Amino acid sequence: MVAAAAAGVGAGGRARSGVLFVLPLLLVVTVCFNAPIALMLAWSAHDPPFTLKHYRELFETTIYLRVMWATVRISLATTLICGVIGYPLALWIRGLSPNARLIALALVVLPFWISILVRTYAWIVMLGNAGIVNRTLISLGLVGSPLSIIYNELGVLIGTVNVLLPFLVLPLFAAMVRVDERLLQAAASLGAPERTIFWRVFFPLTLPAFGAGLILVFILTLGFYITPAILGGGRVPMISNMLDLLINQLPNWELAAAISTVLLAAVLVANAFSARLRNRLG
Amino acid sequence: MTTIKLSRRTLVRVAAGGAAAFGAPFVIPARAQEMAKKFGFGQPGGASTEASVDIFMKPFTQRTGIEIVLDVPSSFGKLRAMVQSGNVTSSLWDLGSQQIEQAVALDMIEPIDWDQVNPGPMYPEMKHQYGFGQTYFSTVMAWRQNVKAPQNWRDFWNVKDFPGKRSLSNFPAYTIPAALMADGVTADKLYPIDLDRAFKSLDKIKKDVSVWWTTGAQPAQLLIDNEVQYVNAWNGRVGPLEEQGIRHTFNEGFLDIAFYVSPKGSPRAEKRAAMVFLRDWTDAAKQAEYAKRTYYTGSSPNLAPLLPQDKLHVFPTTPDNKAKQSLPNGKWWYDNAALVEKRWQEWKLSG
Amino acid sequence: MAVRPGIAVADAGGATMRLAWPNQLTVTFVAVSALVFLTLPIVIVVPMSFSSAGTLIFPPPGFSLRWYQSFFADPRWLQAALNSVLIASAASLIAMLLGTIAAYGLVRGTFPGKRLIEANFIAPLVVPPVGKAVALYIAYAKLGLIGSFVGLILAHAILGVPYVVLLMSVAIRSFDQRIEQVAASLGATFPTILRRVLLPNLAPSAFAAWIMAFIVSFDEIIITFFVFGRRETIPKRMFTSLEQKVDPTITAIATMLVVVSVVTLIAVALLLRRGGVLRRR
Repeated sequence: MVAAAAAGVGAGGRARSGVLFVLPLLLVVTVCFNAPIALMLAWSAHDPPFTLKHYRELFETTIYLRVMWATVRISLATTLICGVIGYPLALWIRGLSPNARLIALALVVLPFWISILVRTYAWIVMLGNAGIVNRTLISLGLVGSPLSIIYNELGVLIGTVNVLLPFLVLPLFAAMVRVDERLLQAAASLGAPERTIFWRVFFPLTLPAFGAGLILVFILTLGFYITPAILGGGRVPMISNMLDLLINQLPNWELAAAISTVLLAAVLVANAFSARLRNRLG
Repeated sequence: MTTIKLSRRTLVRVAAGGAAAFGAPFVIPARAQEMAKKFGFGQPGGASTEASVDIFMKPFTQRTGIEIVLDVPSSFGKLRAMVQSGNVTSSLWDLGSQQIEQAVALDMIEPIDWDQVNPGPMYPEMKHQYGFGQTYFSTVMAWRQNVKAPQNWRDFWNVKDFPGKRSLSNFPAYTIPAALMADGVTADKLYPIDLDRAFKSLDKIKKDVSVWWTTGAQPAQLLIDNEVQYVNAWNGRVGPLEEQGIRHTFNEGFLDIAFYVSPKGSPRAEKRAAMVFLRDWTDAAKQAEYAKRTYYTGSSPNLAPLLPQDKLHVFPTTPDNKAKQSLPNGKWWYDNAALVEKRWQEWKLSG
Repeated sequence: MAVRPGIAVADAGGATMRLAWPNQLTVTFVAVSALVFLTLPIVIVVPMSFSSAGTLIFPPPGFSLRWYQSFFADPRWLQAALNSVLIASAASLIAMLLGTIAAYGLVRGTFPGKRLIEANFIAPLVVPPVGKAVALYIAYAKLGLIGSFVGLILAHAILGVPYVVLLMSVAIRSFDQRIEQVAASLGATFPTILRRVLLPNLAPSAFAAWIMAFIVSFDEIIITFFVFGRRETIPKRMFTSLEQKVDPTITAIATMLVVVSVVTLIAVALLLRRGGVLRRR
């Protein structure tokens, strides 16, 4: 009751100023982003002045649908893998002493500083046909000719997970650290076993950040360009590579704009879903 | 050479002055004839741009005082965006033979003012209505010296007798002709391209292609790193690597031309300056210097004798090499661009 | 200090005992593997920066500082480095400032269109880089911002904003509003609340958000390609130099960045330690 009243008082005063908080950023975003993008999206209904024919072409051409599906598939795979190995990583770091935590976090953040280009080439040095792994396998006589570890979807996955994992781990860790220990201790003193404490108390508290992180990883993989281009060997066209083709080579700006619009719409839906998730649990 | 050029230029100046004096009412007012003190130039960057700067641009600026501002890197999308924006800051741009057709269709470029260029002798295919032929370049076979040397595309496709991984260009225009020739099509019968036949041929080699390269440096790098053993590549990328054990041949190679075009809507005075600059590009002596550095040869029929005679085999347009190659049908590629791209992507995705 | 998993719990006698998380062994194994996976590129790249070979080869055949020399002797690399640092610093700062404030408004406020505005802030993540690059190129060309620092800084700031808004929203939402209200009712003004109550508690998320915004700008290639004219940033120059050949100078640059970030992280950690953030409560 008190809380609700307090919230009401706060909310009334905040409601007006909420807009004020948001306005500066909104202004910048409108000028530097919305306007240019809107202009570009107008291309999707262009020629003649207003038409849906480009969208029709998009959905009727199997190749574009297949590329979009391949992109979604790779994004889902990346998200899954990041989730499966990222959560334990964040959990483990949380359980370390302050010094150890620092070192572990540093190791997570450090790869950020190696430009994505350099990191991608490091994978070629490791996993390429003449890379460390293959040279070792061949010299040990375990294989006759080099294994294709990269220059395919597997290579792209390795690259994207490697780049995007910290994007999940860092905010997840921050959220885990924020979990009030007393809640956990209270549950323990009530006699709850560890499994229950984890799944019924701890995990739900970290779910908003986890969900937000997963959706972030998914969205980022959708738009990825460089890593799939280099590690895919030209064999894994994702939407960004397709757009590059449509914009820089063919060029077919109208179709590129249509694809961008569809992508934007899809992600806005994903974001709305994630917001609802956050609200339900936050 | 230089003296002849100077005096021709002086002649032009005198003639222009004379025309202005006597033909004043029929000649555009002198003010509009003036050239800008600078113009913009879209360049791809890298070694060929650096060679251009050293051999053509710097001396031109020294001689005329006209500054050249580079926009690097130059892409087709960037050109279109620039023309679209209405603020056309470059008067020259670098494009390929297929892209010229696209650019014309999209109304992105203007005709070259050949009168203003007043070029020295050029091979006829270098004088396009909308493009100034800058250099020839070839897409050729290349391999590491420790593997069996292929003589033609049939050998290249023969994975059994010529074992090793391949890398082919991700640009269908450079790879599909090779696939056809591997299947037995002769150079003169390449066009119109039989796409079905090409893709059937490509099916045979698909699993041995490790990488579909998208940048000029990739195939050379892949060979050096021993990631693959056979590639198709642009001659200027693999030519310089002979000392590092990379071999190539112009046999069944595909000759092509790199053009300079004039973006639509550039300021008139700047375009004029750019056209005058282009004349320098027809100087055979300068072209020889450029070829020595980049392995790409220019448009002058007088060039061959000026090239280093002990290394003739690395240049695309020596009579010997030119005879072994074929030129592309730019119009066919343009007309069928969308279809080719669609089928190319479909083919690559089809496991 | 030994790894202490799980949670501290007081037993009936008042002594502290530790409960283990379920499947502690699996968690540790997966976590350590993940950490190794993350750091593999560093393990490869750093030694290669001292390689005497002209291409990327591991293990390096010999020791040499030539790639560091290649970097410092080239004024274009140095200029690119300066540009990168300048732009990333300014862009991340703008993103943090505007983004955090906006996140606060989104979480605490109620006004029509809030959902839509939040989606708008996240949108830059979604539009593929090439699309953004062309759109910005056309707009900037009209405005004459091509090749300008201001143009690129704003573009990069917009790229960082989604991370800031996402992370800070979650952090602010988890922060009990009643603490703010109590402080307010005790007479604290908003700036004070910000300084003494909000920031210390939001610091971990703020740090994570700032790092992401900085790196997003520092690492950005495609928009820089289109919009920065002839000027270069580190990644732009790396990318264009890769057009020629894979130049091992990039490994030297990467290694130097790692060293710089290690030093920075140590400094920041000392500060955070002072603020008691990393201490387990």
